[in-house]
Amino acid sequence: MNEKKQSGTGELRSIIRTRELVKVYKIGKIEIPALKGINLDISDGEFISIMGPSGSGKSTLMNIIGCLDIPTSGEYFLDSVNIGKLNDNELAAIRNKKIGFVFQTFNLLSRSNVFGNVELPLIYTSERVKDRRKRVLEAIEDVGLTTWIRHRPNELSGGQKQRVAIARALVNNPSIILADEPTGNLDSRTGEEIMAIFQRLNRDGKTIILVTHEMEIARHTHRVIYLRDGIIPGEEIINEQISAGEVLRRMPKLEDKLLSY
Amino acid sequence: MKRFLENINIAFRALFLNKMRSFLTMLGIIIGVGAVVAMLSIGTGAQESIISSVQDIGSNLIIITPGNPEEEQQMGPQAMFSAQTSELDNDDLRAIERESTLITKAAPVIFSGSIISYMNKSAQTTVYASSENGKDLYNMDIESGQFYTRSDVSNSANVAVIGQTVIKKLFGKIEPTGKIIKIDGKNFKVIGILEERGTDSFGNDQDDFISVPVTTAQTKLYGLDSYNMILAQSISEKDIDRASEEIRGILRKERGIAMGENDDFQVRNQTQIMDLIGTITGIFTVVIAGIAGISLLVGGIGIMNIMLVSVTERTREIGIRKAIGAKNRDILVQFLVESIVLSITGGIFGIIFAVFISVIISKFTILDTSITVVPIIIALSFSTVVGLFFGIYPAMRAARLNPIDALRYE
Ligand SMILES: Nc1ncnc2c1ncn2[C@@H]1O[C@H](COP(=O)(O)OP(=O)(O)O)[C@@H](O)[C@H]1O
Ligand SMILES: [Mg+2]
Repeated sequence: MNEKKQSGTGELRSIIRTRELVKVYKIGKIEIPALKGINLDISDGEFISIMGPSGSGKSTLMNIIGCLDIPTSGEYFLDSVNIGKLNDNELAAIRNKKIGFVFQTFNLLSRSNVFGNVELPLIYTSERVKDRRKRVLEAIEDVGLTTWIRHRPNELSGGQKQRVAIARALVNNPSIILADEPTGNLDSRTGEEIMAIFQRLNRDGKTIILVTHEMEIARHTHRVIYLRDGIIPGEEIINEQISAGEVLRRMPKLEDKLLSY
Repeated sequence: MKRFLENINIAFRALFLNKMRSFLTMLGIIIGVGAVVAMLSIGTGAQESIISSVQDIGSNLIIITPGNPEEEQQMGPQAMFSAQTSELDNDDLRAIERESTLITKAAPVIFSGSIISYMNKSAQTTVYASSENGKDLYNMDIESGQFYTRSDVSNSANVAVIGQTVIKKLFGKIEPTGKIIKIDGKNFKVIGILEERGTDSFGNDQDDFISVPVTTAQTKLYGLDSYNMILAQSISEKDIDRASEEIRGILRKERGIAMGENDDFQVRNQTQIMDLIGTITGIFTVVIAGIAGISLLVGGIGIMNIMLVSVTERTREIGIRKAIGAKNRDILVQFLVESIVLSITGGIFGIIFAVFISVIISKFTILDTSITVVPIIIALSFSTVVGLFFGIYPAMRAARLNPIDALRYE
């Protein structure tokens, strides 16, 4: 979970590379161009955010990066593998092994408890997993939910649910974590706690791509890529990232008590 | 394998979550399998008891009766006249005993309903009149006293052996042996008591009869020269058809039936009767198979329906599983296992239901039931096939869902 992958040349290698990525949705005869030529290069170990207003194509881009969807045209390389050439089964295997998803709406299985939800990616792994139980427990501990292990999602707060989702994203030890507005449904303090977890995971070497429409959230990451109407008008390097830990420490004590979960 | 067990686990949890719905869905299968297994158990039980009661009469029996039923049907009223000449009599019996090489013994039988009385009690019963050979051919075992002998038969002795039900009706706790009873007003001495034989598969009391020497019945009770039938026993089961043919030849010669003329008597044997039972149970089985097919079809459609609902309801779950790396095949297997679990569970409940029903039936009715392994195995494999067949379409729908659309589903 914490080895930092580097290419032989010593320079950070590009883990995600897209060239002229286009996505057009078709609803009947109407064509909706959601992405209109996206070129992206994301290095291993980066923590970047994709920022843009609602409808700008952020989720569409995330779905393609996450191998949930395929582009209408253009090329996408993940770990130097040309994703456009893969079939359904190969895409599923990549999603399982290389990618961890965190969604705005959590997307947990309501019938399974915390353990069952976190275990899910291991069920669909092709390799034989040793110490399966141990790995699940570690991932749960990593997000601080050990005491909630037998609880179902409906017994958890929003922040806890999102931490279950993060544990699930981590359990298969993927190279990339994709988070689509992970704090969108959370209050500011809980959102900050989630950001603290992401910052820690990134320090430990995980590549994280985060979608948001809030500048405050984007400023927690290394680099902000702007997205507007399916194109990237520009990007911004954040030199002084907001430290979520810092913010949490400064939060008023009263709020601390009221929002305790 | 591990993943397969996981799928079974998922399936059981999903079904358990909707207990009522799962139960109602299974009901079609439960009723179908239950009805079939229960009916087959009744059928097998009935078959077994019919066969054993056919064998109870005696084994390797050949039954000779007067008249040719086909001919009588064809000729209508005229047969009434010719019927007189087609009676079986002592000459026929003697001829068979003398000439047949494939039988061990033969006995005449006359049966008739009669009024019997002892002291001030009277009752209706059946009189089976026969010779001393009738004891073995009719499986009349003596519990105490003795059966009438050859000399009783030749002397037309007024003696009788009586069945258990007759004893209950007339004597109660009194010891019957040696007592004088009246049959149709004539005095008979009770010389033996028959062992209990119970009821046959049609619920007839097989102990409600009395037996007297055939000559006595002919001369003193009914004024007859003839017999109702003649029973013969072949030397072995495999010779029974040949023995029947032999008897037929003997009787044709004895009765002077010319070549080309029809028999005026009928020779049947137990093998033929068994074959007839086999035919009847065969029809019964086909009918049951039809019922089974229809109810399993209805049950299967119920399963398909609920599985389609389940796929729709769980679209989001499918999306999540796919996003996390489930392949189409994984989703397919998951839903397929679920429908099979549904139908097999239904099948198992059905079998339990059937066992319950058949125990009740054999306890509270005269029918005997017999649960055998074969219908249970067939029922289970059919319900598996139903689950597979009707589950495949919903499962394929689930497997083909696009993960993004599934995740967006509200
Ligand atoms: N499955 C879809 N079918 C049709 N149109 C879609 C679909 N998904 C997204 N879109 C359209 O594509 C555009 C980009 O959407 P999306 O990627 O969800 O934006 P964002 O996540 O930035 O809000 C929007 O106009 C949206 O309506
Ligand atoms: Mg979005």
